Amino acid sequence: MEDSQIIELYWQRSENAIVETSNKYGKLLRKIALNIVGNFSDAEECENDTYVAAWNAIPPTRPNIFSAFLGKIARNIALNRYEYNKAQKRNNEFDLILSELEECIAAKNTVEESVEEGIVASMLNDFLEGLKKETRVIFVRRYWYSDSVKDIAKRMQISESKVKTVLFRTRKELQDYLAERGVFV
Amino acid sequence: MTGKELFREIGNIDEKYVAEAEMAKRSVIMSPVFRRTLATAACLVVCLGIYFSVKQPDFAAKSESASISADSAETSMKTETAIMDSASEGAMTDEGASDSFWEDIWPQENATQTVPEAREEVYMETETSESDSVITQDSTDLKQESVSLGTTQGSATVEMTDMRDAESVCKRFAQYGDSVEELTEEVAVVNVHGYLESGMEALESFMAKTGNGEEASIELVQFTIEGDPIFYYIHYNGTDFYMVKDDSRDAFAGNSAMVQEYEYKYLQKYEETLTDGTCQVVMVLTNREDLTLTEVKKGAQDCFLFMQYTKE
Repeated sequence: MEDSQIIELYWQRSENAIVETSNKYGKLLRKIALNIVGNFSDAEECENDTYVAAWNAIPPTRPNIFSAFLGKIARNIALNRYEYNKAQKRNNEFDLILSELEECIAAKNTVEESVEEGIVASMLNDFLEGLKKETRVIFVRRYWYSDSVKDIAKRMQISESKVKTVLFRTRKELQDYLAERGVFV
Repeated sequence: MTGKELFREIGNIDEKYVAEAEMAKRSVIMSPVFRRTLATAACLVVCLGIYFSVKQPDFAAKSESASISADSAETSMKTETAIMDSASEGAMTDEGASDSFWEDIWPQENATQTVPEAREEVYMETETSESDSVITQDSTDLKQESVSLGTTQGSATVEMTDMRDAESVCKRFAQYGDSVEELTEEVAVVNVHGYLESGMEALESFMAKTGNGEEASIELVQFTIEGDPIFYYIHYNGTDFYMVKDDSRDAFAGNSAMVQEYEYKYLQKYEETLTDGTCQVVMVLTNREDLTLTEVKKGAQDCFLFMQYTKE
């Protein structure tokens, strides 16, 4: 079923909307959540919470890119779940992703707390726009979808070492880019 | 700002980048080995092109003349006379050599090639150089006739009807957009790097109709790893399949023909479960009813693999 038809089901408040969403995007949402929370049961819960959140958000929202819309919800829910679980257990792979991102933020004494929410996202959009498509895809797969290096290498048909190199360079570029614009620790 | 906060901010990036990353799926067809082979083949084609442009600058014109002659020979004795005339005047000094060349570098039996602009030039040349030539079709007529390289190799010439007119098919393709989003709305089946973005139903409907012997046609588009679309049009008239492949937008297609026509008797669909549990669907046009997937993978000559995707 096409995305527009599924969204229409949400607007009609048909429960089939959830079923169709699950059929089409369940696997994707589970994967996104699993990459963050690190276990299947939590990932499934995140997936179900995503459907509920989508049900509550549509209407009035009418998503442009439905998969990205759902993925974003799943990602946020999974991140919250990760924080909740963190005191008890750790997801090594995701901790690694977060530690990698720490590198992107220049250590400087002048703390710029005035960076408003959304401004950084706008900067990130500009930064991504300037990247080559392959680099951008690798970056987004790693830090949006939280894919492992191995999965990215398989998906892009390149070696793991190349993925690591691309990510390393992109993080350095992002660090400089954000620092120039006053985003520090 | 912490890494976690940055991670949250990354969650707010433009959805188009997320969709782009989602679509950039693994290309089964464009594996590294395949890419290396393709690059080698492209180099070979370029070298051959350079060789023939240096050694035989009028080679292309000869080939076209040969094709026109072959078609005409089938239709009338008068045309045969014209061929004899043109051959005796040196326009076709080595017709046999041209044929064998095409057999060497173009082994697929049913491949035909449409180069309308070049053909018109050749026809004009023939008319002006031979005042008594019987090849007197105007440009409109020329468009209705196929230039068939396959006729010298024993395959049937493609009969141009409205449904089997490569030029009108390509004109239609030219109107389509470049992006996946646009093409999803315009073309029945969109295959993005081995994953069907849309058109599963259309594809199944086409298969069902052709399976029942009903006339049917379908348009497909596949994306190269660089993101360029390659268009296919397939028409089934109840007897055989006619396909047009248009890779004119493939920036990495090299010097090969932009538009190609094919005719085959059968459409074969294979399903294979891979070790990771995914199901691969391979669709092939062929003249052999007993063609196996193993033979297809080994590069069987008498077939054309036009669709390969992962069944979700």
